[in-house]
Amino acid sequence: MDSKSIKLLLLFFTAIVLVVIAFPMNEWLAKTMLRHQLIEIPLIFFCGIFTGRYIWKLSAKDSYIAVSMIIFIMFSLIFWMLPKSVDLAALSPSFNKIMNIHIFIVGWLTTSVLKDTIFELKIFLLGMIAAKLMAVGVTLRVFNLLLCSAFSIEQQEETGFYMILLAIVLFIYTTYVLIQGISRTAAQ
Amino acid sequence: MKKVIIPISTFILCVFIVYNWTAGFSAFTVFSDTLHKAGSLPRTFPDIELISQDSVHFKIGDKKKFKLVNYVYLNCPLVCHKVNNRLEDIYHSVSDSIIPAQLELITISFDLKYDNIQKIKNYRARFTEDIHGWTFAIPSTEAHTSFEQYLLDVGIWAKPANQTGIINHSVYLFLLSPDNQVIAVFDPAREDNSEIINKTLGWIQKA
Repeated sequence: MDSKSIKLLLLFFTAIVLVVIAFPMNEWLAKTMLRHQLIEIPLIFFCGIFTGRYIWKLSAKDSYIAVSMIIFIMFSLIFWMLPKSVDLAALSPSFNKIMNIHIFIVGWLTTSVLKDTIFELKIFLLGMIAAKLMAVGVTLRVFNLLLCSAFSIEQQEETGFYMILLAIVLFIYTTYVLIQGISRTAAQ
Repeated sequence: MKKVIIPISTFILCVFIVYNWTAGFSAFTVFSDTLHKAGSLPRTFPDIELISQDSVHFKIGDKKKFKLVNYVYLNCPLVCHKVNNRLEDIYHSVSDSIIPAQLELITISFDLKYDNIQKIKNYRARFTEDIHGWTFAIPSTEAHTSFEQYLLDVGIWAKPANQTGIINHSVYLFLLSPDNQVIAVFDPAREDNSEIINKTLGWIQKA
């Protein structure tokens, strides 16, 4: 199989995963906050990453393009973690589709930043995502106030707990990338 | 030049979008957003016909005194009863010369499906006997069709949660002036009873 056929096959596979998440599984995913925040969003995000990695990616070799992409990625993730956005995405199917498309684009752009840009910007992006996950996780975990009307306080706390775990894993990965980058720089 | 302009423009655009989405970084939840969309204070309180626990039809605007209004549903597992228990404390902390002559408490159920006059009458009976200045009410049948819009106009978000039968909703207390203007909104989750009482009495003394 030539590379064009492989790419088409991967594109087809990604499209199927996206359609399954956005349609038949959507109701199930929107039922709890944990599924919505830590299954649906990451799955779509990784579909975007997969597309950028294996099918087609934008170039982020120029630092100013990479910085612009990082700003867009950070604000996009912030936007979809605001309680109001979470609620509307869980309650309105059309708003949920907008979220899916947006998160897919964010994942797709993230590949460009992680592949093309300078080491410092990669660390900045990973560190910022980990810090944001930690902040949101702690907020959800400790706030005894219902923040998202579509879910319950118990689900909120559960999601917060797993978000903290995810942040810790991402911090460890960021540290690994950092040490690897420093070692490479020192060797050069 | 474009190396600076593109990142800065992206940043400004992103901040602008989040700023607008959260009403100036003030409404992060659907509860605060619904309250924000209802309008700034003071504003006219939307009035519908209600039925009290004694089957009396009335409109809030017809009561020419201060009113402290909240919204509940009787199957609520926790928060509505907590808020009403606090309202009971507030009621008994305010002098008899103020309630009911100058101030009345009104609790309205938004559960059109399960709550009825008998239920609110029974529920009210669980509180202390001397709460004659505290009315419990449900919307009249005529008001049912537009009730969802009415809640949004008041600034209350109330939507059933997935599969649980629970209605997630705002718990704001609305202080209304005698001419039916919303003059203050209290959040019992953030403000304690003394703050609510002091601010309410402050408005009454000013009038």
